[in-house]
Parts: sequence; C-alpha cells; structure tokens
Amino acid sequence: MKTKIPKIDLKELNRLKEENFKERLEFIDKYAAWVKKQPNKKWSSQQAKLID
Amino acid sequence: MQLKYTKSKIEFEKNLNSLDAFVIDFTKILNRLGIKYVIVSGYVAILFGRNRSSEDVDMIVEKIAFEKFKALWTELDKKFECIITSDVKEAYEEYLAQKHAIRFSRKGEYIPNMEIKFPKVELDFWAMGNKKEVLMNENKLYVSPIELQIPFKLHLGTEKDIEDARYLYAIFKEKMDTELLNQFNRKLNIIELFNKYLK
Repeated sequence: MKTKIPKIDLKELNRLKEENFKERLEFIDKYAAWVKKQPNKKWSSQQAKLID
Repeated sequence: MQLKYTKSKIEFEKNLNSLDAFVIDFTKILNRLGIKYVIVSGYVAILFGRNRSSEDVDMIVEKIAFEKFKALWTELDKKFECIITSDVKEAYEEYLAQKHAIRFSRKGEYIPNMEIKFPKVELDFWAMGNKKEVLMNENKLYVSPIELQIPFKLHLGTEKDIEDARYLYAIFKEKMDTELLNQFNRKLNIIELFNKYLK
C-alpha cells in the first residue's frame, strides 16, 4: 500500500527556513554581545567544551 | 572579550580548544621554517569565539620551491601526515604546483586537517601580503584581514558562511577599517547581502 505524503507548500517551507535563519542570526548577535562582555577565560572555556 | 587590536596585530588569551591546539602545532612548524602563510577559513571566526567546530582549516601558503617544500614535509612528518598522498614529489608536482590543495592531519587521525594550497588569484596574494598577525596565548599565527574575511564569507553565501560573517562583524565592527571593508563589499558585489544580513 502506497504511503500518503502530506501536502507540501514550498513557499511556506522557504518562508519558515528564512525565518529560522533570521532567528539564528539574531542569536549570533546576542552571543557576540555576551562574548564581548565576558572575560576571555569564560567564553573560551565554553567554546572548548563544545568543540572538544 | 579582551584583546589588543592594531592595524597589523591582534593579541589575546583564551582557553584553547583542540582545534586551536591543532592550528598552533601546525603553524609553529611553518613559523620556524620562515614559510609565509595565511589562514582564510571559518577557523578565523572560531578563533575569536564562534561556537562551532570544523573538520578542516584552510591555509594559503607562499609558493615555495620543491626543496623548501621537502624540508617542510620532513618537519611536518614528525607529528602530521598528508592524507592525500604519501609521496612528497607527487604532493608538490601533481597537487600544489597544479593549484590543487593537499591536507595534513595529525598522524593516525583524519580530522581536523589543514588544507594547504598555493595562491591562485590576486585576492590570495593580497591576503598574504596584508595578513594579520595573531598572538593567541603568545602563539603566533597569521590570518586573513577581517575586512576581507567578512565580505568573502558573504560572497561564499551559505548559511554557515553568513553566520560566520555576522559573528566577525559583531565582534570587530568598532575596531576594523570600515573604509577597507566597504571597498571589499563593493568589489565582491555583496553590498545587498551585507545590508540584509549584517547591518
């Protein structure tokens, strides 16, 4: 039996993708602002935890 | 973030991650041999705090003669290995000299790896000639100027590249040469992207 796939609205998906990207860019601003305020030891310890 | 920023040098201290350690160990060898290079990749953003990892680091190395490359290969071979070919002559003649990249990882590993290539276009030569010295925990390495990194990342245009550009701009906008940045924005034809995603 063939599985029925849902309706796909590409315009809506693209819009959501753009919205999600915009939110990620806003988060980067917030993160950069936080990094600028912190002592180097603090932001770099967090970065090391993620990368390592 | 505390760093000393001048036109030619950025100096700062941080807790090193494994990618930093890899880059330091590799560039130490180039520095010792007096071989000029410039790091141009996403690592530049990671170096200054961008929270992501990378499988590789991109580096442009000055076009050196085979004998000097052989000396570099011998030194690198102590801790690193070329994951493209194990033959030094092939690495030079079939890859680097033909404007293809080769990659070095720590022995027995595969990632991260350092992708090295000779300069191909005018922009590569400019980046090398105007490279920025970075002193990270007193380890010296050379990176592409931020004023070129940002527009070039926008030119590459993937979401990851735009995010890297956004991060670098947020960190350095008060410090960098805005006129130089604007010049590259115009030359790389990304003013629209710049205004859309960074301003």
